[in-house]
Amino acid sequence: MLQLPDHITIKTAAPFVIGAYIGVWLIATLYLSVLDSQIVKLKRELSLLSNKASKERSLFSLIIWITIATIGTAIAYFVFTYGSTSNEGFIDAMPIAIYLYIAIWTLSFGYLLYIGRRLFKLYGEMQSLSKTIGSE
Amino acid sequence: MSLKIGGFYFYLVTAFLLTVAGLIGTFFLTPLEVKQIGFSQKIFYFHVPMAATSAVAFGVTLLGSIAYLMKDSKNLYRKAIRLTKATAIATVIAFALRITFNVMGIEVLGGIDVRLILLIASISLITLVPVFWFFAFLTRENMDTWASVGAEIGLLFGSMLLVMGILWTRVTWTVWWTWDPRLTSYLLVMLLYSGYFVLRSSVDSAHQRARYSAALGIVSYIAVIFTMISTRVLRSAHPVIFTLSDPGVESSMLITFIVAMFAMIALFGAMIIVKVTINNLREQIEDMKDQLGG
Amino acid sequence: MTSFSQIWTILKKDLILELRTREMLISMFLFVMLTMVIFNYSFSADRNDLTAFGGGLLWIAFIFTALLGLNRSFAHEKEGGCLDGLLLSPIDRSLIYTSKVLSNFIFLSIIQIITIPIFTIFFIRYNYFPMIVLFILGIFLGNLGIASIGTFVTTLAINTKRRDLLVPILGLPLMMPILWLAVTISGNIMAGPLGPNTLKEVVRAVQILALFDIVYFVASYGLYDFVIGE
Repeated sequence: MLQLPDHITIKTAAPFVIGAYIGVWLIATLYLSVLDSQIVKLKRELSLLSNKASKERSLFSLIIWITIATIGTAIAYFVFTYGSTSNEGFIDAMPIAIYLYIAIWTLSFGYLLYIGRRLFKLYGEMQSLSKTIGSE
Repeated sequence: MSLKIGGFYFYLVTAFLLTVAGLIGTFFLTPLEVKQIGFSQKIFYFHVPMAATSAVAFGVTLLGSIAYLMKDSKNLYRKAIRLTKATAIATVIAFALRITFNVMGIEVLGGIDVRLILLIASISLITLVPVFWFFAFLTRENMDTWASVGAEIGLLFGSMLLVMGILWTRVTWTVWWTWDPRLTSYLLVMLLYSGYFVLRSSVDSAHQRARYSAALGIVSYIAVIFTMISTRVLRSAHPVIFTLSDPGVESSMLITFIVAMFAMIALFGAMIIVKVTINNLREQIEDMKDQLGG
Repeated sequence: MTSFSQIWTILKKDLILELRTREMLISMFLFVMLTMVIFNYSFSADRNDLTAFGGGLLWIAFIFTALLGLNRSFAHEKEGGCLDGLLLSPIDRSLIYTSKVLSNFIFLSIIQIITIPIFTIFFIRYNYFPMIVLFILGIFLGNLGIASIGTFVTTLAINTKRRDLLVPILGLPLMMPILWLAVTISGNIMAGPLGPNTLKEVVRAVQILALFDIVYFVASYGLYDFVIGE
């Protein structure tokens, strides 16, 4: 078996490592939802300027964030309870936990992609609007 | 503009692929560190890249501030001459003092490996500067926007870094926080850049705000540099891994580390493009509202 | 007029103004004295030997006094319209910076010369007079650093909406390394006889502090044009 320092076994260290990685992901995804709500606000203002109705609500970003955060917390809880009996238990649980962690990061990257596409579409609309107004 | 969109997608895809690769590498492909800190060493692979990325972000603030002041000022030539003279005099004094101390037998600032600092500085410049100038100057955008967004995302990566750091400290040293030089100076960097935003909110005129933030952004980077070299200059319990003589980690660890480093920088690239576009869009909408309303 | 005589003219104006009214010096002095009394009450009533904490307490008192002094030194300039007058004159802005740094440095030093002996009598139970040269060097470099970056930040803050709040918010993080190094120097000297390791640490701190002073001064000197005026 591996010779680890007495006070740090995988069992004691793992919750903190998981906490660190999940914490990082939570902060990043929270920031993405902040960006999302800023885009929604800009979209609404632009639609006011161009007299087009906008159906989006900024509550939507909050819902996305809550959903993703719940999934993330569920993963953390899973690793805690399933693997918490022994070092070997954690080593067994780890692959599944890492795959789940990669999955939630995929969700967040997808969210970023979605944000980016909407933003650039909005930017394009803005450019064409300013051209129309400029020519009036 | 399409250059930026292309850049965004490039950074996004790269960040995603490298993050997944980095995570797989961290948890499956690297050996468990058995000498000192065991499983918690896995935090290292993303902790240090985040620190580097926040330094890059604050570096964007520095470059944006310099670029703004360069575009903004008249008589820049005279000021640059004066600054060069002052720096030259200061360097001469510093060297004279160093020689005097050496002659007197007092050891001067031993323990700083200047070559390492130069290596890090050159690597950061080589990676950071072309990226920045490529996007910023090519689009001839407002440098002040880039500077403030750099600070914002620097704070974001900084908070992620602090979360990882606090939990790592708890595992290895069983306390949540120590007043170690690097931790303290990084906390100060975070407070300083938060103060940057307090300054921005207390000035009304856009031009004045940009000028003042630029001046503060340049001076604040001194604090960032101090954080980077603090573990080597002052006594610190923070682990010092990389030295010039010995990489300090095995090759599989080093490769995973580098992959994670590029992953974080790519993520930073994607985020900064998004946020700068949001800020620019907001400005344009405000302008248009003024134009239509007035 | 040469640069030096320009600096001297502005410096002379500040010094004469202050020496005539002594308003700022007296308030700073009272502030430091009151802070020292508070120190006595914040620690347990039985101990009045704060030798081990000497450096830290001394510099806490000085930093807050310095913030007070910096605020005041620019406030009456702004109120009296003196700043605009300076800006209208064909003087190089960075020379204004140099003279401001010198005047703040001189005021801080005056306060310290008076209060350090008092502080020593109140709290320190070790005679550190043999190391007085190194001690004064540490105080001098700390003052210079605080004056350099403090003047820069105060000038930045003076034209904004929240000027009194902004000086501590921006100034304190920037001054922290200086504070820390100065506390290392003063604290170690005041706390007891210096062993070889501690002496090395103190000398090293002096060097790094000098480096910080140079860097802060040069950076503020170069950027001063951009922060003064609207």
